Amino acid sequence: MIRMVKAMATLIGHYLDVFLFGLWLGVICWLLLTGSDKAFLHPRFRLFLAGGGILLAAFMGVILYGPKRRSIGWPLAAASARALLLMAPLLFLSTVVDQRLGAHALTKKYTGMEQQTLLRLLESGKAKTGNAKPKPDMSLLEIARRMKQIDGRRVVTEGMVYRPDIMPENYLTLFRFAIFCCAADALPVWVFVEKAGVEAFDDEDWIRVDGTVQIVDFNGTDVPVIKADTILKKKAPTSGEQYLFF
Amino acid sequence: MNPFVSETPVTPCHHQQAPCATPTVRLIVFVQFGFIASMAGLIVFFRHTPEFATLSITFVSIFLEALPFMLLGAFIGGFIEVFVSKTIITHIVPARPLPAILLAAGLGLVFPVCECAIVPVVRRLFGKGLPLGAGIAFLLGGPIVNPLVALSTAVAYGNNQAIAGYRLVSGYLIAVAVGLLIDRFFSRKTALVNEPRGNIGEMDDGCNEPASSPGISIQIRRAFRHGASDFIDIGRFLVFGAFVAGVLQTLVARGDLAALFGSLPLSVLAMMTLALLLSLCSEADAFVAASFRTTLPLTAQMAFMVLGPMLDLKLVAMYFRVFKKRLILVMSLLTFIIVFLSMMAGTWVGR
Repeated sequence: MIRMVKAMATLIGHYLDVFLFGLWLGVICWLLLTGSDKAFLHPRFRLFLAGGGILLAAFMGVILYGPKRRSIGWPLAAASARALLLMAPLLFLSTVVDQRLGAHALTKKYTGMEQQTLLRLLESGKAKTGNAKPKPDMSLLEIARRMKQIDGRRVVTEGMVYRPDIMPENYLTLFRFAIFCCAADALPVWVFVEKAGVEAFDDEDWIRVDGTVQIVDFNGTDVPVIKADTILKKKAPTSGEQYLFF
Repeated sequence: MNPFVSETPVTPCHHQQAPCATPTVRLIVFVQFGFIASMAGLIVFFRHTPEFATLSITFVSIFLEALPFMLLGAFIGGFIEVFVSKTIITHIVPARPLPAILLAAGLGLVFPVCECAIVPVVRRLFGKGLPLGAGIAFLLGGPIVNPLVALSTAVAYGNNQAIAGYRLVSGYLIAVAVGLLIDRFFSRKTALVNEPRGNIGEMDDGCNEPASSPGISIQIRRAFRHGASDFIDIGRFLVFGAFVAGVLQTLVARGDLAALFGSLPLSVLAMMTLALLLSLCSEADAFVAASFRTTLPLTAQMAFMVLGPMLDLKLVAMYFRVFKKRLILVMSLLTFIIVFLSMMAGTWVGR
């Protein structure tokens, strides 16, 4: 019995790191092949992730065919703790594959000045867009970018609902997150929507709003309000499609 | 006690016997298993709460974003270990501290690396005899004095190149200042943990290969093995730092922290604290800083962008695998104070 336990411990010791690298390699391949990486990272990071996968494969190869760890007991316990720590993000990843940043994240990432920031941040985009009449179907990021241009015009856009208790009657906040690198640096992009009966929507419901943009002063900042003609509840996009990307 | 530092006492390659499991080693292993068990408990009991979704997505995002760069850093470190001799370092790096530090702080311009990749690289360079002050200057300056960071900063501020330039110059000068001070008050012996060779309890990192003039393929295999060893050794600190940063991003609202302080010095301190807590990549942090541009003065935003790549929770965790605790404490305090004072001085000069 003891001999069998020792043999198993030796086997684990030999292949623990190979397993760790192989597991991460598999997860990176899965993220890239299914597009699930976009639930966490900007698509421009795909190339870096692929490069990381190649390095993981190389590391796995040299360990697999190289000399193996010889000790068991406490050194093996220490190595196991290290390997398990490096596997911990995978545990969390498996729980959030179908989840998304929602109203809670909005309250933590909101600074109140996103519209001003986005307007200035996206100033460089104006030259590209020129004065061409924008199509009504546009993202919240596009609305932030063209805020002054589209004042008084019809837009169709979509996002998540947030209605805190302090929200006036007939108003809701429509928001999404825009990311530059990863979800940790997500900036909330939001507009107010005005329509009778919006109280029927719950926080984090995905809706499609068709209405007219009006710029109003909110705490000294220009923010867009969509006077909605219609609001339709829609199916939430996949976690990989939830973000807008700079 | 740092629960990660010393459970793998570093020994030369020829020691192949398992170390005695001292009570400290055992305790540290238990602490790590305890940390893993806490994470598992969090998943079991809180996985259906909105806070958990924010925490998980943030934690996994920070880790996934850093992972390729961490692997790249480990890979470069492995090649430095095998292919760069101490003699080469001695020839390249000036012998006198000041020129060495001035050179090292600006190395990011030609060797652009982010803060996650730079830690394993610097760790291996220290092993090759890189002077302490120069290593610190490269470690702190590299992630800021960097063309990619300059570009992202300029874009975040609507193509404002002056802000990008100000950030790079500030980062460079602060890295030089901290490098000089550390070089003055610390020696390699008092600053560095034992140099990275084959760690007991880890994979054999190539030390068993024939030592006498091995062929190139053997050397490349050794380099990869060193890289793999570095990744496992330092990667867990990244996990720890990313998790703590994720917890804090879940609990602390950006707006609340900034709104706490009205005066310039306090807003600078608030933003420095935020940089410490958020642990963002130096190529993305300018976008978060820019979201405060109408609520906080530029000085406070700049403090956020200069301190973050030098000092945050994720980095402090990773520093434990390179430096001794006293050095980390002194370097962290020095960096924090110098960033604060230089930002305030910059405002005063600009008036």
